[in-house]
Amino acid sequence: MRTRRSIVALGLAAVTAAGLLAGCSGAAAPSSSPTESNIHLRFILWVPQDSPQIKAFQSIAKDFEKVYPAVTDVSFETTTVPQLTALLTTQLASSNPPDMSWLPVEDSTQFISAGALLDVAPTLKATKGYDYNDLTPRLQSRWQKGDALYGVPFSTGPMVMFYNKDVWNKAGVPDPSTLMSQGKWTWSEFASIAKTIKDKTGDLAYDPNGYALDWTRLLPLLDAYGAAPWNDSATKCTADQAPMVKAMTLFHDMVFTDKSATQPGQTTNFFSGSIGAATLFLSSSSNLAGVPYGWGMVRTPDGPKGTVQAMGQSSIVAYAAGKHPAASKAFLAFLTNPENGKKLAQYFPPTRKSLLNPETIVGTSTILTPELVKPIVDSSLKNGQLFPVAKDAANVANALNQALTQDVYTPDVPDMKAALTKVCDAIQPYLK
Amino acid sequence: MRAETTRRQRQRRLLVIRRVPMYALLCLVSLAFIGPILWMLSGSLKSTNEILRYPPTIVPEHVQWSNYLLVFVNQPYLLQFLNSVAVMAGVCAITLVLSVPAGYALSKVRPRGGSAIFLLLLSGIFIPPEATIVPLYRMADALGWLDSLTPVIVFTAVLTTAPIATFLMRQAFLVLPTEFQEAATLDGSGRLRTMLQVYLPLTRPSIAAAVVLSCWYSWNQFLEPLVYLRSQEHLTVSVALTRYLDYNGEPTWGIQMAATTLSLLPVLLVFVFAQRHVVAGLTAGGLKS
Amino acid sequence: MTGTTRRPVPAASTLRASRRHPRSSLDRDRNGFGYFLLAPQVIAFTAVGLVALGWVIWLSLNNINVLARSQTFVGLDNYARILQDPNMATVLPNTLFFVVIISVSNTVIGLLLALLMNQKLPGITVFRSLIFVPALVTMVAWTLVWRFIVQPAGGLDALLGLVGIPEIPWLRSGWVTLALFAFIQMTKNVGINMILFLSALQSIPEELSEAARIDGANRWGVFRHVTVPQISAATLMVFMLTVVGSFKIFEIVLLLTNGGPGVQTSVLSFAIYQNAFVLNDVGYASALAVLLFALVLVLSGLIWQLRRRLVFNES
Repeated sequence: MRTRRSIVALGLAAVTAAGLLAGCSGAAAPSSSPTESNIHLRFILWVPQDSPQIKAFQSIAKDFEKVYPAVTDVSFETTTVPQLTALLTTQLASSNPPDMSWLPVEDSTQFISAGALLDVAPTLKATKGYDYNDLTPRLQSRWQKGDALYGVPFSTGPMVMFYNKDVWNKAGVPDPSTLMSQGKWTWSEFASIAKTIKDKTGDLAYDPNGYALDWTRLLPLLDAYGAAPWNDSATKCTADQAPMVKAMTLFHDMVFTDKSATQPGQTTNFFSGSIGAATLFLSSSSNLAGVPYGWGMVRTPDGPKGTVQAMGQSSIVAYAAGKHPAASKAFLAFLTNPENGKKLAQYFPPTRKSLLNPETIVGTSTILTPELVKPIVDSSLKNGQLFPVAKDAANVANALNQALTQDVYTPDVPDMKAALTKVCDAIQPYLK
Repeated sequence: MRAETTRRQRQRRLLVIRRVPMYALLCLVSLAFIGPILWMLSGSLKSTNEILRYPPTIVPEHVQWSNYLLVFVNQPYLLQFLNSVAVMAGVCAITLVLSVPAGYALSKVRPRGGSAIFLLLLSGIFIPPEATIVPLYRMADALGWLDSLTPVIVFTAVLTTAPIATFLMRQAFLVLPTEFQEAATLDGSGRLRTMLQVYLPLTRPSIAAAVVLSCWYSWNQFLEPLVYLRSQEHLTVSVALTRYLDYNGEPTWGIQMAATTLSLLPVLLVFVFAQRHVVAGLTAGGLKS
Repeated sequence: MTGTTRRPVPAASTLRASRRHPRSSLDRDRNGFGYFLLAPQVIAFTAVGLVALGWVIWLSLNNINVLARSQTFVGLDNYARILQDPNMATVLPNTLFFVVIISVSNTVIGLLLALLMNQKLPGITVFRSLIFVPALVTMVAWTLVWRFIVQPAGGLDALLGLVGIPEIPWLRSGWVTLALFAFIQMTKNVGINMILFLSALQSIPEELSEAARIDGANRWGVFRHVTVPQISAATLMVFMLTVVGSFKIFEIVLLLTNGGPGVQTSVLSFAIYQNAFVLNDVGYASALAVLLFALVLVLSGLIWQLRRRLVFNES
């Protein structure tokens, strides 16, 4: 009799203990686990330590610590975009992994399908005053899987075209706004203008800024032609299809025949003043401070697909390998809520509908004006198109850049379609 | 008397004239080595925009002394430089402690299996860090050494610089006469004392060489600091140089060149003043046949 | 001069004799003392090096996805992949190219520079220092500076443009690019070789060259029969250091071309880094690392044999 009761008592105790342990082991509870305190979050990003951007994040972190006392410190560690992947792959496997970081959209599918990121949708929806529906749905697409959201975009940058008015005037070519009003602001028109600029002034006319190392720099051109290296589901290579062939032929001629665009691998800088035009992210406009030449900014040229606005993106993510998932998700929600979203929108183009207006985008910039930015904002909202992303992102990008460099970015390409077929052969194995 | 003087003067003049092609050759050869340094100096005073201009300018249009200031503002560069120095010091210390006795053992004491051990150590020298970095990273993680200079120092010394130094020290001890050793008594303290008090002082140039080579190797490391170190305050100079970015994540070349120049100056100063010792060290008495 | 390294005959035979009878107490003590001295180095090396090697071998037998935190045993699949990997057809020859070219050229050029700088010209120390200065800069710094010189329309093209030579794509020219990398590496490190050789040259006793000349040898004869043997120990040291340095081509590859275009400028150590850290394929990277180990072992064995043959008076 006694032994049975004691066995039952033991059993009950064991179950209770197990239950308590399960409850305390940091399950994804909407509020912080009662036993977790003195949390130190690690956040990785890629701006230098003295930049206003990092200071903005740091001050928001300080506010967060007041609201969420379990977190006593958020440390922001800086790195560079090229070194980011190496850093993440080593540190996520270590015993002190980062909790959160910025992540470029190119890596989204890979990280999400590997289960490396935390689903933040429940936390965001449960946070008071967050207004989840304010996030423009079409611009969250790369981070969504069904109802789950694996990252909140904090910077969705449109790629725009900056042009050097002095160089254009020297060549005596009509400026983009004139061309736009004539309906002639297309890539083929731009290519012939570029040729004129090069012939008349000797200056380079177009700089896609590092396209040999990163094919996504050509997306303003590719998007306008409806060209993409792979289909929507990223399972089949479409680089050898007609739109891509047309777009690449145009570009190839600019680089190797007209010599009006930068050579592959050439380190150039539009802002140093001797290049006609460049397609860059809107945020790099800050480099125009104090330049001695006249400049302008317009949306990138149209193509057979009409007006398409290529947009790069980076999001804030929280890692499943992190030690403090609840606190990380709470911090993510805090960083991207309407109030703080507005603070960050000064530096990074947001995706909140309420913030996607010219005044917020201009923010504290001394270069941009609402008039200048309005057409970009409009085309972002209407025709914004995010980068195509594949699951095995690193391998695909590597193979694609390699193949393009070997077969397309070379002077002798008599048959572009054949060259692009070779490119497809190189990347298809990685598209599954 | 006067005829003598003019003849000598004519001889000297001929000597100088014959030497001109030699000086020209020397200048040409040196250009490949010093040219990039001058380019670096020129770039360190330019703005990023001017650096990327083509055709490039040699003398900066607007001298940007601010580049040198920003080196310290963008990153805790002084601290990072001291980290590099700390790594060098640590590597040298461990290297000497490991290699001096080992070199002596392999050359003078010659236990059985010495050759095999020597070959084992030799193989360690040539294995590049990329091959072992993944398990070493996990090892460092298990030991709690991540984000500290410890794995950078210890692994480097043990796997690469100590074996190189062992080779050097073995060579150095090898050319010294064995009579001293044979005169020693057979008990342990006698042999140890012989090694430390008799042989060791005679190998001072080789020890200097080992120190110089260890410093040279650890100063140039890039992959290990990149992988093991996390926070900016712990970085070494090599990695720090690749982190000079502007607000858009693009490198700020002018500041980077300034940082590079600054990394060179202390080493250059040390070299200029200690040149005789450095050269004597590298000559390594142990390299005489 | 050679007398100091030759042991007096009776002692030598005593030592050799005692080695044949390992049970003698003289031997035991010597072994004990020897192992005691070797212990720190060997234990540390084993603990770190052999453990790392074993671990790499274990990792190479798995398929590891760091992001998914998964690790599955796949046996020798990664090694089979090496055999089928089309990139290896470029990466391996590149690696061999660098090891051979850099080690040989750095040694030879180091010697040539030392001979050149061994003259008693006024101001010669200035030139010696100029050649040595690049050795003081970090490899990263040197590479970043060269990046500007060799980029399209960069400093080098500007220089050539002055004499009317058109632009050459330095970083995308196959073996020319590889040679350029070797040149960059050489200019960085050869100063050390030069100083090592210089001192070795300067420590050759005058009497030997005099004796050779009296015997009728010309300059080349003196060089071949006196100089070369006398500096053979330095030559070996330099050769070893340059082989070590040839693997340091990693920073140059990473910062100048990232292995590209394609894998044209990639080497084995860079492929290991790329697979492990960028392409998230630690298993395959480890298999490549084991391959590298094997190559290195062969290399060390070769150098060990060389030592016995070439170093004058190596006992």
